[in-house]
Parts: sequence; structure tokens; C-alpha cells
Amino acid sequence: MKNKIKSIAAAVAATALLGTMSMSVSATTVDDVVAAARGAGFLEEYVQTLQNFLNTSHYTSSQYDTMIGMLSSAGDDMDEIAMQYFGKTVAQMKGEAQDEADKTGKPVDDSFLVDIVDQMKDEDVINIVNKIIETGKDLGLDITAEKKGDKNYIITVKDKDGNIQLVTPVGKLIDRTGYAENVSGTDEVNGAMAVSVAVTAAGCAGALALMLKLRKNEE
Amino acid sequence: MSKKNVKLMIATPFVMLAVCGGIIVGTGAVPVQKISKALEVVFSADSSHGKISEIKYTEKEVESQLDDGNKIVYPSFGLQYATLKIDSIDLEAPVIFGSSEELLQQGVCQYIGSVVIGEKGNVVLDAHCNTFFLNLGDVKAGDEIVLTTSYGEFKYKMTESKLFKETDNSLISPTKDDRLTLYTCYGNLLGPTEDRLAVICELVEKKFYN
Amino acid sequence: MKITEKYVPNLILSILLVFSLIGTAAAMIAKYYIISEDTFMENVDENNIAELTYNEIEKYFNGSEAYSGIPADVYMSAITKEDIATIINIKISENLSLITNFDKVPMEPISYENLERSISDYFDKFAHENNVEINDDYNNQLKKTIDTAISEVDEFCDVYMLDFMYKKNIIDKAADIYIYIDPIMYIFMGLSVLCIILICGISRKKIRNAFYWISMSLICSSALMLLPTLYVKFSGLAERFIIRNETIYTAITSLISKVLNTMCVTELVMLAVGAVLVILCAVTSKKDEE
Repeated sequence: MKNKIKSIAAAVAATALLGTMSMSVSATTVDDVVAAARGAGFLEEYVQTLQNFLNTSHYTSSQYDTMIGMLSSAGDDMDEIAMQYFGKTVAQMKGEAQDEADKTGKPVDDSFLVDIVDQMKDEDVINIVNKIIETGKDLGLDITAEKKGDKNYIITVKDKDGNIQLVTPVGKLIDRTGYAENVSGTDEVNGAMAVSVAVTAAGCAGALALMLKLRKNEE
Repeated sequence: MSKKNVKLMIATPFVMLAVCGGIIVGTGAVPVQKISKALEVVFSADSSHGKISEIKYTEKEVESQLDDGNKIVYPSFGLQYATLKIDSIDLEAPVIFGSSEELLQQGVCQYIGSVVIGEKGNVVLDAHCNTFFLNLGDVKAGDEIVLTTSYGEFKYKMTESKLFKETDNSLISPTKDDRLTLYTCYGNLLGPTEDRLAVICELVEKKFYN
Repeated sequence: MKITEKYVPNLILSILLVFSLIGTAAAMIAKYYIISEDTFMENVDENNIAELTYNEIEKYFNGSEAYSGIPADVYMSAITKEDIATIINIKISENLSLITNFDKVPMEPISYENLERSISDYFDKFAHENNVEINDDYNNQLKKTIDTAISEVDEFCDVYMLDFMYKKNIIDKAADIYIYIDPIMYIFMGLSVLCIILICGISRKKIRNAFYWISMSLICSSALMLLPTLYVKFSGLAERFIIRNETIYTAITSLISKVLNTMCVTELVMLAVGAVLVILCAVTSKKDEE
């Protein structure tokens, strides 16, 4: 009996170990995050900034997954606008700029990104900035901005202890941030409406019940 | 109202609160949703970190290995991790990883969007034109520039200098070849200037202390 | 008339009164306190924001010496703390008047004569000492230096980011809404008075009932306003402001705090009046029973 228990325990332990090993083999790394940023069409200097930041930051595999999720989502948003106005994805436009640079020997012309951002509504920019800030919060990072002149901002990223992790200027891209112009129905609004209808209905039902109670008391 | 209706008197304000609260939430949902995303961005920082004047760095180094097997040490933002030496202009200055107003007072700063010294690509350093890079304009083609780190020594040779506008990112962008780009403000008179002077150098020797 | 025949109309009128009171209070606070130059300027004085701004400007020009070659003293000798306070107040005045004046008043330029003269004098002195030729390049550089200095001082004095909001058309949007604030306020005020009169009319035989219904309206309206105000105040929302320039952060967070405190006081006063009316109702009810 004792031997049977030992062999079962060994089998369970081996399975668990195998499971862990297979998890570590497929665990997300810094390189995956950098590849995702590149794939989403971010400029090489921003990809390099991200890589430099991640090189000395220790995050778990699931946190890298969170970063990849945010980058993909932001990339999808930018792709939607690029497809709508230019008929190509951001990665395709970046590839064309890279090919042109290779042909002419000049640096990559990043004006395609400015063209895309120029087409974005304030609401779109706020959505992307919000995603970045929310992801930063999930990773324990605090993002603040310092206004430098009319259109330039210095973004500071600090960890939870207040140590500066990154300081980077943001220029023209930030120019588009502002009030939302259009509002379309969203799940959040629908949810709030549903709650308000339920509460108001409950209130009215309560009033009716009170009235009936009053009438009963009078009888 | 008689004593019998005391319970009703107490219940009535709650009924009123429910009805009024429900109507307010319903009518306020759309305008609140409209500005909530913007408010989430505007009021998203951590309140405990106070003002921007609090400056402290992690000062961390992480050892790693490049694809070619050489050992490299990645610095965290704000860390002095190298020394820049240009004998032709009698310059020896600390190199700090990252750039900010405060760091530019302390030494030559590295643009955070450029590769770490020893990696493949464009290493971009900048400093003020009246402090560390006072005589940058006197560096001539063929002059040697040495970057020394804890993991290796890297020698460059100046190839060309260029003037560019502060809005032009092309010279500080990543490159496929290994180079060093030094830049500073450029002006021939008093006052602010939009012009920058870039000194571009090609990598001629790299020695890792593996 | 059965009690139920009075209960429903009183309930409806009380609910209407809740909304009227909320509308009146909100419109009055917005008109007389939030969109008020005095509120903004008092906040600047209470938090020494002019001094903070002066220090920030000094720090900036000390730092700019590194690349401009112009000593900070050239700029700072032409600017005083009083000048900074004046510029801040002018900016507040001009931007808020864009909201409150139905005719949009164009912004008048602030005078930076002393600063211009100081920079010009330094340039002339430098040119004389270094035999620099006074040509188009020289004049263009002088103009650029003056324009940059003025622009920077102007930016620093925009402590509430009102110029920024003007450029983003937020001030225009606020002005479009502000046009309706007077009619809204008077309509809600009128509606409140009408509801009170009607409640009193229905309960004319037992005025304590009117006290009850009016007090319920006051308590409900103050609760509906007080709860979100207290939530915003104690959640530390203002301190999470993302812009961390010392002057802007201090100005905006202190202004938000000031406005929230005033709103709390107003709402507590309404709650207190409601409570007094409830007590009156209970006291008169007891007297009647005796």
C-alpha cells in the first residue's frame, strides 16, 4: 500500500514538473514584447526605448503578456484608422518607408505615423493613452507629464517606490489629445442606463407600495 | 399623518432617493461617459509621488549576453555607465544612460531611444554646448573617440559632422550600421537656437572584457 | 380628501422640488463660484502661486544659460513677483471673460516692455564688446530671443492651463454652455418656489405636512449632491492630476479642493435646513397630539 502511494505521489509530482517545464518553455519574454511593439508598427526608436526599459526591469511572463495585449490592442486601433484613410495597415506603411530608406540610403521617413495620428479623433488618442496608462498601473508604474512650452511634454515613468524608470519627451503626437467629440453607445452607458431604469423602477414600485399601504390603513 | 403612518414617513425619503437617484444616473450616464475617458487620463497618476521635483533613480545594472556571446551590462535610467574620451579636444566626461534637464547638468547623456554601447546600431549621446560639448565643433574627420564601460572598450573614428534642425529626428534614429552620434546645440550668436550640430563616428574597434 | 389623494401629488411635487433644488444649487455654484475670477485669483494668493511661478521661471532661465549664453540675470532683472502675479491674473481674467461675456472679447497682449529692453540692452552690449556686426541675422536672433523669452514667461504664468484649454476649444465649449446658465438658474429657482407654494397649498390645513415634504426634498437633494462631492473629495482624485509642473499642480489641485469644500458647505447647509424642518414637523405633530 505504502509503495502504491509513493508511486502515485511520484507520478503526480512528475506531471506537475512536466507542466511547469512546458510552461517555462513557452513563457513570454522581453523579446516577445519587443517583437509585438515592432509588429504593431511603432517607430524603431520607441521600440528601442521600450527594450532599454525592459532590459533592467523584472516582470513575470504574465505581465509581459499584459504588455503584448496592450500593444496589440493599441496597434489594432491605429490599424483601423490607417486602413480607413490609407488603405494599408501601420506595419505595411512602416515597411514601405523602410524599403524607401533602404533604396535611397536615407533614414526612415516616419511622417506616415504623423499622417495616421493626424487622422485620429481626440477620442481615439485618449483611448490609446488610457490603455497605456492602465497597463502601466497593472505593472506598478506611475506615469506623469510635465508641460514644456506649448506642445511639448516630458513623460516620466516611476515605479511604485517613486524611482524614475524613464523620462522621454513627447511632441507632436500629444497635440491631438483633448475632449471627445463623438459619443456612441457603449456597454458602459448601456449598463448605467439599465441600473438607472432598475433603481427608478424600484423607487416607483416602492411609492406604489406605500400608497397601497396608506389606503389599507385608511380602510 | 397619524402614528400608523410613521413607517411610511420613514420609507418615503428612501423611495424619493431611489426615484431621483435613478433618474439622475440615467440622464447623467451619457455625458459622464463622454468625459470619463479624458478624466481617467487627466487624473491617472499616483498621488503619493508628489511633485516632479522628487528625483531619484533605481541605479541598477543587469548582466546579459549578446547574440555573439559577448557579455554586456544593461544600465537603468539615470545611471552613469560609461566614460567618453576625445583626446583631440581634451574631453573626458561621464556618460549617463537617459537624458533629462537634471542629468544634462551632470554629464553627457544618452538618448533613451538609442542602443546601449556595445549593441548593434546607433549610440546617440548629447550634452550642452557650453559645458561638456563646448568644443564638439572642433572634432575633425579621423579623430578617435573612445567609450569605456565596465564590460568593454569601444573605439570610434569621426567621419562627418552635420547641422540639423531640432525637429529633425533622422540623425538620432536607429541605424543598421554601428555608429556613434554626438550632438549639441549650435548657434553663432546669443539666444536660443533651433540648430543642432551632429558629429557622426563609425565603430572601428570593440573589445569586450569577457 | 383622503390622505392618499394628497400623498401622490405631494410625492410628485417633492420629487420635482428635489430636481429644482439641485438645478438651482448647481447653477448658482457654477455661476457665482466656479466661473468666477475671484475664486481663481484668491486661490493664487492663498497658495503663493505667483512666488512659485517666479521661482520656476528663474530656474528655467538659469538652466537656459547653458545653451543660450545669456545670463539668467538679464531676464530676472526685468521681471518681479508682482509682474508675475499681474500676468497670472490677466490670464485668468481674459480667459474667464471669454466664457462669461456673451460677446467674445479678443485677448489683449500683455506688456513685456521691461523684458524686451533688458534683452536688447544685453545684445547691444555683447555686440559692442565682441565687435559683432548689426545685420539682419543679428536682428532676427534678437527678435527670436525676445519672442522665446516672452513665450516662456507667458507659458509659466498659465498656471491653470486656461490658454491650453482655449487652444483646445474647451473655453469655447464652456462659453456655449454658460449662455444658458442664467435662464437655467431662474427656471429652477421659479420651479422650486412654485413646488413649495403648491406643497403648502395642498397641506394648508396641516402645515406640518408641508414642512415634512419640503424637508424631504431638501434632505434628498443635499444627499444626492453631497455623496458624490464627498467621494471625489476623499478619494484623492485631485491629487492624481497627471501634470506635475509644481505651479500647475499646486494651482489646479488647490482650486479643485476649494471648489469641493464650498460645494460641501452648501450641501450641508441644505441638509441642515431640511433637518430643522423635520424637527419642526415632529414638534408640531407632538403638540397637535397633546
